[in-house]
Amino acid sequence: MSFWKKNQQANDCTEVSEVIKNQHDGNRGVELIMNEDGEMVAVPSSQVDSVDGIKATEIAKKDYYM
Amino acid sequence: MTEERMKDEFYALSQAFSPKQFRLTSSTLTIALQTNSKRIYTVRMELVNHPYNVPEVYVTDPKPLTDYTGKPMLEASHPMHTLTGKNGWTRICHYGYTQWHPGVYLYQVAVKVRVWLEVYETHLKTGYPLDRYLTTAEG
Repeated sequence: MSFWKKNQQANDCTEVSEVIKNQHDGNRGVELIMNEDGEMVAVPSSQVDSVDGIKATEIAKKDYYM
Repeated sequence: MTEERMKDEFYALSQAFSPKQFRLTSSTLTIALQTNSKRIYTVRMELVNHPYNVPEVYVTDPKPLTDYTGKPMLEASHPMHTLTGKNGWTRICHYGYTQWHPGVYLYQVAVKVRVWLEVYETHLKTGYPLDRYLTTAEG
Protein backbone atom coordinates (compact mmCIF):
# COMPACT_ATOMS: atom_id res chain seq x y z
CA MET A 1 0.00 0.00 0.00
CA SER A 2 1.38 3.41 -0.91
CA PHE A 3 1.98 6.15 1.64
CA TRP A 4 -0.71 8.22 -0.06
CA LYS A 5 -3.22 5.42 0.28
CA LYS A 6 -2.39 4.90 3.92
CA ASN A 7 -2.71 8.61 4.52
CA GLN A 8 -6.12 8.74 2.88
CA GLN A 9 -7.37 5.90 5.04
CA ALA A 10 -6.15 7.65 8.18
CA ASN A 11 -8.59 10.45 7.35
CA ASP A 12 -11.54 8.19 6.65
CA CYS A 13 -14.64 8.98 8.74
CA THR A 14 -14.35 5.68 10.58
CA GLU A 15 -10.80 6.52 11.62
CA VAL A 16 -11.87 9.99 12.71
CA SER A 17 -14.67 8.45 14.78
CA GLU A 18 -12.27 5.98 16.36
CA VAL A 19 -9.96 8.82 17.42
CA ILE A 20 -12.86 10.44 19.29
CA LYS A 21 -13.86 7.12 20.84
CA ASN A 22 -10.29 6.41 21.91
CA GLN A 23 -10.03 9.83 23.49
CA HIS A 24 -13.15 9.13 25.55
CA ASP A 25 -11.75 5.75 26.48
CA GLY A 26 -8.59 7.39 27.80
CA ASN A 27 -6.29 6.49 24.91
CA ARG A 28 -4.91 9.94 24.10
CA GLY A 29 -2.13 9.06 21.70
CA VAL A 30 -3.79 10.61 18.64
CA GLU A 31 -5.77 13.83 18.28
CA LEU A 32 -7.80 15.52 15.57
CA ILE A 33 -6.89 18.73 13.79
CA MET A 34 -9.21 20.50 11.34
CA ASN A 35 -6.74 21.84 8.80
CA GLU A 36 -7.08 24.90 6.58
CA ASP A 37 -8.80 22.80 3.90
CA GLY A 38 -11.47 21.85 6.46
CA GLU A 39 -10.29 18.26 6.57
CA MET A 40 -10.16 16.37 9.87
CA VAL A 41 -6.77 14.75 10.21
CA ALA A 42 -5.44 12.46 12.89
CA VAL A 43 -2.16 13.68 14.38
CA PRO A 44 0.00 12.11 17.10
CA SER A 45 -0.48 14.05 20.34
CA SER A 46 3.24 14.82 20.46
CA GLN A 47 2.95 16.72 17.15
CA VAL A 48 -0.32 18.57 17.73
CA ASP A 49 1.29 21.84 18.80
CA SER A 50 3.40 21.99 15.66
CA VAL A 51 0.50 21.49 13.24
CA ASP A 52 -1.57 24.45 11.99
CA GLY A 53 -5.33 24.20 12.29
CA ILE A 54 -8.17 24.01 14.78
CA LYS A 55 -7.57 21.53 17.57
CA ALA A 56 -10.83 19.65 17.28
CA THR A 57 -10.34 16.98 19.91
CA GLU A 58 -10.79 19.20 22.95
CA ILE A 59 -13.95 20.69 21.43
CA ALA A 60 -15.34 17.31 20.38
CA LYS A 61 -14.68 15.77 23.79
CA LYS A 62 -17.25 18.05 25.41
CA ASP A 63 -20.33 15.92 26.01
CA TYR A 64 -23.06 15.99 23.39
CA TYR A 65 -26.26 16.77 25.23
CA MET A 66 -29.71 15.22 25.11
CA MET B 1 -26.78 39.27 19.72
CA THR B 2 -24.93 42.51 20.17
CA GLU B 3 -23.03 44.07 17.31
CA GLU B 4 -19.77 43.61 19.18
CA ARG B 5 -20.45 39.91 19.75
CA MET B 6 -21.34 39.51 16.09
CA LYS B 7 -17.98 40.97 15.11
CA ASP B 8 -16.21 38.60 17.49
CA GLU B 9 -18.20 35.62 16.21
CA PHE B 10 -17.45 36.54 12.59
CA TYR B 11 -13.76 36.90 13.32
CA ALA B 12 -13.57 33.56 15.15
CA LEU B 13 -15.53 31.78 12.41
CA SER B 14 -13.24 33.30 9.79
CA GLN B 15 -10.22 31.82 11.53
CA ALA B 16 -11.67 28.32 11.31
CA PHE B 17 -13.72 28.44 8.09
CA SER B 18 -13.71 30.31 4.82
CA PRO B 19 -16.01 33.36 4.92
CA LYS B 20 -17.52 31.95 1.71
CA GLN B 21 -18.78 28.99 3.74
CA PHE B 22 -21.01 30.84 6.16
CA ARG B 23 -23.53 33.61 6.58
CA LEU B 24 -24.01 35.15 9.98
CA THR B 25 -26.93 37.35 11.05
CA SER B 26 -28.00 38.44 14.51
CA SER B 27 -30.40 35.48 14.72
CA THR B 28 -28.94 32.72 12.52
CA LEU B 29 -25.71 31.18 11.33
CA THR B 30 -25.88 29.18 8.12
CA ILE B 31 -22.74 27.26 7.30
CA ALA B 32 -21.75 24.70 4.66
CA LEU B 33 -19.62 21.93 6.14
CA GLN B 34 -17.71 19.50 3.96
CA THR B 35 -16.70 16.18 5.46
CA ASN B 36 -13.55 14.26 4.63
CA SER B 37 -15.58 12.24 2.12
CA LYS B 38 -16.30 15.56 0.31
CA ARG B 39 -20.03 15.44 1.04
CA ILE B 40 -21.42 18.89 1.80
CA TYR B 41 -24.03 19.57 4.46
CA THR B 42 -25.85 22.82 5.12
CA VAL B 43 -26.23 23.59 8.80
CA ARG B 44 -28.45 26.25 10.32
CA MET B 45 -27.98 27.52 13.86
CA GLU B 46 -30.88 29.44 15.35
CA LEU B 47 -29.61 32.01 17.83
CA VAL B 48 -32.15 33.09 20.40
CA ASN B 49 -30.73 35.36 23.08
CA HIS B 50 -27.24 34.39 21.96
CA PRO B 51 -24.80 33.85 23.61
CA TYR B 52 -26.85 33.12 26.73
CA ASN B 53 -28.99 30.29 25.29
CA VAL B 54 -27.76 27.10 23.66
CA PRO B 55 -28.28 27.47 19.88
CA GLU B 56 -30.63 25.10 18.11
CA VAL B 57 -28.71 23.33 15.34
CA TYR B 58 -30.36 21.80 12.27
CA VAL B 59 -29.04 20.12 9.15
CA THR B 60 -31.16 21.71 6.43
CA ASP B 61 -29.55 19.91 3.50
CA PRO B 62 -29.79 16.98 2.98
CA LYS B 63 -33.38 17.21 4.19
CA PRO B 64 -33.86 15.16 6.27
CA LEU B 65 -30.82 13.11 7.14
CA THR B 66 -31.59 9.41 7.05
CA ASP B 67 -30.11 6.68 9.18
CA TYR B 68 -28.40 3.41 8.21
CA THR B 69 -31.80 1.84 7.49
CA GLY B 70 -33.02 4.80 5.41
CA LYS B 71 -35.34 6.11 8.11
CA PRO B 72 -35.60 9.93 8.39
CA MET B 73 -33.86 11.24 11.51
CA LEU B 74 -36.54 13.60 12.74
CA GLU B 75 -37.15 12.25 16.21
CA ALA B 76 -35.24 12.70 19.43
CA SER B 77 -32.85 9.79 19.80
CA HIS B 78 -30.38 9.32 22.61
CA PRO B 79 -28.13 6.85 20.76
CA MET B 80 -28.14 8.97 17.60
CA HIS B 81 -27.61 12.30 19.35
CA THR B 82 -30.61 13.97 17.76
CA LEU B 83 -33.48 16.06 19.07
CA THR B 84 -36.93 16.52 17.57
CA GLY B 85 -36.54 18.11 14.14
CA LYS B 86 -38.72 20.69 12.41
CA ASN B 87 -39.48 21.66 8.80
CA GLY B 88 -38.09 18.29 7.76
CA TRP B 89 -34.67 19.26 9.18
CA THR B 90 -32.70 16.95 11.44
CA ARG B 91 -31.84 18.62 14.74
CA ILE B 92 -28.57 17.53 16.22
CA CYS B 93 -27.19 17.55 19.75
CA HIS B 94 -24.08 19.51 20.56
CA TYR B 95 -23.16 21.37 23.77
CA GLY B 96 -25.02 20.47 26.95
CA TYR B 97 -26.82 23.13 28.96
CA THR B 98 -24.43 22.43 31.80
CA GLN B 99 -21.45 23.05 29.53
CA TRP B 100 -22.82 26.04 27.69
CA HIS B 101 -21.75 29.52 28.75
CA PRO B 102 -21.42 32.84 26.92
CA GLY B 103 -17.74 32.14 26.33
CA VAL B 104 -18.56 29.37 23.86
CA TYR B 105 -18.31 30.65 20.29
CA LEU B 106 -20.20 29.47 17.25
CA TYR B 107 -17.05 28.23 15.54
CA GLN B 108 -16.72 25.74 18.39
CA VAL B 109 -20.30 24.57 17.82
CA ALA B 110 -19.51 24.23 14.09
CA VAL B 111 -16.45 22.10 14.87
CA LYS B 112 -18.59 19.85 17.09
CA VAL B 113 -21.11 19.57 14.27
CA ARG B 114 -18.28 18.79 11.86
CA VAL B 115 -17.22 15.89 14.11
CA TRP B 116 -20.88 14.78 14.47
CA LEU B 117 -21.09 14.60 10.67
CA GLU B 118 -17.98 12.40 10.43
CA VAL B 119 -19.48 10.08 13.04
CA TYR B 120 -22.81 10.15 11.21
CA GLU B 121 -21.07 8.99 8.03
CA THR B 122 -19.42 6.23 10.03
CA HIS B 123 -22.90 5.21 11.18
CA LEU B 124 -24.03 5.02 7.54
CA LYS B 125 -21.15 2.63 6.83
CA THR B 126 -21.29 0.48 9.94
CA GLY B 127 -24.77 0.80 11.41
CA TYR B 128 -23.32 1.61 14.84
CA PRO B 129 -25.22 4.37 16.68
CA LEU B 130 -23.42 7.68 17.19
CA ASP B 131 -23.15 7.19 20.94
CA ARG B 132 -20.62 4.46 20.29
CA TYR B 133 -18.21 7.32 19.56
CA LEU B 134 -19.65 10.44 21.20
CA THR B 135 -20.31 10.76 24.90
CA THR B 136 -23.61 12.13 26.11
CA ALA B 137 -24.58 14.46 28.90
CA GLU B 138 -28.16 14.76 30.11
CA GLY B 139 -29.57 18.30 30.00
